[in-house]
Amino acid sequence: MSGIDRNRFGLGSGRSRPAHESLAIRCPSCGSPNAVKDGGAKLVVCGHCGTHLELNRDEAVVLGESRVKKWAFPLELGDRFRFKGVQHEVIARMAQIEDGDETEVTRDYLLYHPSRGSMWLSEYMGKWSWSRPTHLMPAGSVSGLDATDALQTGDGRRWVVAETGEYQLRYVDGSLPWVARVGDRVRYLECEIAGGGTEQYEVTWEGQQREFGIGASLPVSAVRRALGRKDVFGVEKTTSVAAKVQAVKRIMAMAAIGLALNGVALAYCWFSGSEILNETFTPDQLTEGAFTSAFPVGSGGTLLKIKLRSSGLSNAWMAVNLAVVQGEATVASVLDADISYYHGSSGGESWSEGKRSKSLYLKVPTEGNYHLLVQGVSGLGNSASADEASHGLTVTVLRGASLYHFFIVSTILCGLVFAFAMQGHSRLRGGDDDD
Amino acid sequence: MPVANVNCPSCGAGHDIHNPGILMYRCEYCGTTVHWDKEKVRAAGKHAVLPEGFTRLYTGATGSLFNKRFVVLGRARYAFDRGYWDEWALEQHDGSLTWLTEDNHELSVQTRAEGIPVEPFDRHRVGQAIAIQDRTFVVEEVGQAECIGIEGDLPREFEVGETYGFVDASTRDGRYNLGIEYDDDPPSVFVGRWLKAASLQLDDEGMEW
Repeated sequence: MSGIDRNRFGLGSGRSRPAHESLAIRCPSCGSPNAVKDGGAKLVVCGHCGTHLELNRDEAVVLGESRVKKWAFPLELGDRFRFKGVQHEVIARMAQIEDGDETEVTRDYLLYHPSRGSMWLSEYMGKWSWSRPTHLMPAGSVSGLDATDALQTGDGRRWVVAETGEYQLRYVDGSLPWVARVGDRVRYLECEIAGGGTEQYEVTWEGQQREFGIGASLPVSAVRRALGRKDVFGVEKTTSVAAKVQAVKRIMAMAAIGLALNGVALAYCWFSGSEILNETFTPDQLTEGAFTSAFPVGSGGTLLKIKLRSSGLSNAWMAVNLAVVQGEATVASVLDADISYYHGSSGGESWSEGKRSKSLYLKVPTEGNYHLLVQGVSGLGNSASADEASHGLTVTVLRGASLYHFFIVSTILCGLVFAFAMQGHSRLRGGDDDD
Repeated sequence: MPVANVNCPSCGAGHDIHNPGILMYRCEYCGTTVHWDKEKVRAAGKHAVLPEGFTRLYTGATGSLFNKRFVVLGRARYAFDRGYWDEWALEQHDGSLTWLTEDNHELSVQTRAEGIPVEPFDRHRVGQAIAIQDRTFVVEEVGQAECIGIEGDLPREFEVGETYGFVDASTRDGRYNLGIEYDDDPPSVFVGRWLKAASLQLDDEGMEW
């Protein structure tokens, strides 16, 4: 285009940046001057008398004197905070609590730069984070979302809800670009990037007005560096809720797999072994003592499972002695078993105690032919002793059986781990991620 | 080299016009808002100096936008419920003129979208979805704005004290924006996008202060 003076566009040919000068606001209440850094400030809390002033275009209007207690903050108004190469200054501080509990306090600092604008620095229980406003919105509705739920933003990123709740403003000083009043409540939903990471996203709303913020968690060492101070309390690394949920889900999955594998192993043990003997003895035979038929065992170390079952046992007990005899007269082992079964009804509900069967395990020392000498007595009710058996007994011997006790223990362990993980997941959903 | 020199009808001070698209300016000597259209020069009253030092852009600044050199010609400032925003007029190296909006230090570049039918102002609500040009925008703000002052040279007429309803909206991915200004019939519709801070560089960023 003709007539354009191209020299006006040269590097450094423009005007120098006009100096930033604070607005001088005199408190109408006490007359003290206040230097307000943000030209867009709407609320100024007098640094001398604590009066809350609303700035409109022409004057500072007294909103009211501050009668709330002064809260302690590790950062002072005017502290410099160098973040990503930009020198910010703390121009406002807010203390917000949850559920009326003053130990659940979040301290927010408004950091200001004249040409780069504002950002928030927040601290809750030593966990620091920064955020700034964004136009990035959730892809769907956020109503009804709770901790550990998934949220997707319009740019396709996936987040995990870390916490939801309601903040109540308890203290403010400095200057803010809106008129905040002590007691104001705002609902919030805080998210962490799915899959682990430091990025955070938040939605806050009051009525229909929604605002969105994006930022990240900050290790306390970064806060100290930005402030140029070492006397700031905080944690170096926080585990995100997303990472905790992932870990808990992983533990639950492993415990579920453990439960399934143990179930299969238990079933295998229960049904393993080949039956090599099944004989039934009358009460008289038991009282006298009787031998089973002989059964061969092919190799030393074979595990035998001996199942004893007294089908007629009812509100009675049986004491059984077994001698494992190799060949004609060599006693390889002596075993005993108590079987009892009681049942009835009480208060309209039936009950039972004990079982009519019992299993014994025996590892035979050497190969050979074996048989069992079976002897037993039984008694009714609470009789303490008996001289004879009044019930029959079936003896079954299985060869190549497997011990299942180990798997019972590991099944219980897996179940406990699963239950604890479920409980942990519930606590995370409830927003309790402090542990 | 200026394309014209205009004398302020109030104080007589001379003012160089560098771009033929300029339609008004604020006299840097007496503060009079001067409307100028080659045929006639008209004073539209004196207005207060807009505060400087609180925005990223400033009148007279030079820099690069998407790697194209520009100079900031001037601005119009609007007040609304939650504060202020500035409409900055930029002249680019090829003489073309661009508007940038700076709201709470966020910058967006917008162009007027012609022939877009929109609902009446009182039908808009925060959270409402508006589909325009294959994009869905979600309303973020509905309010009243007042032009409270101008500075520098501007390629568009502004009436200081003029008020109108406005609707601001963004796409859910936070990249594009929509502005509807109920300053005329039909309303003016602007579609644009939010700028990343790095998309614009100023020769004097003022990082230290």
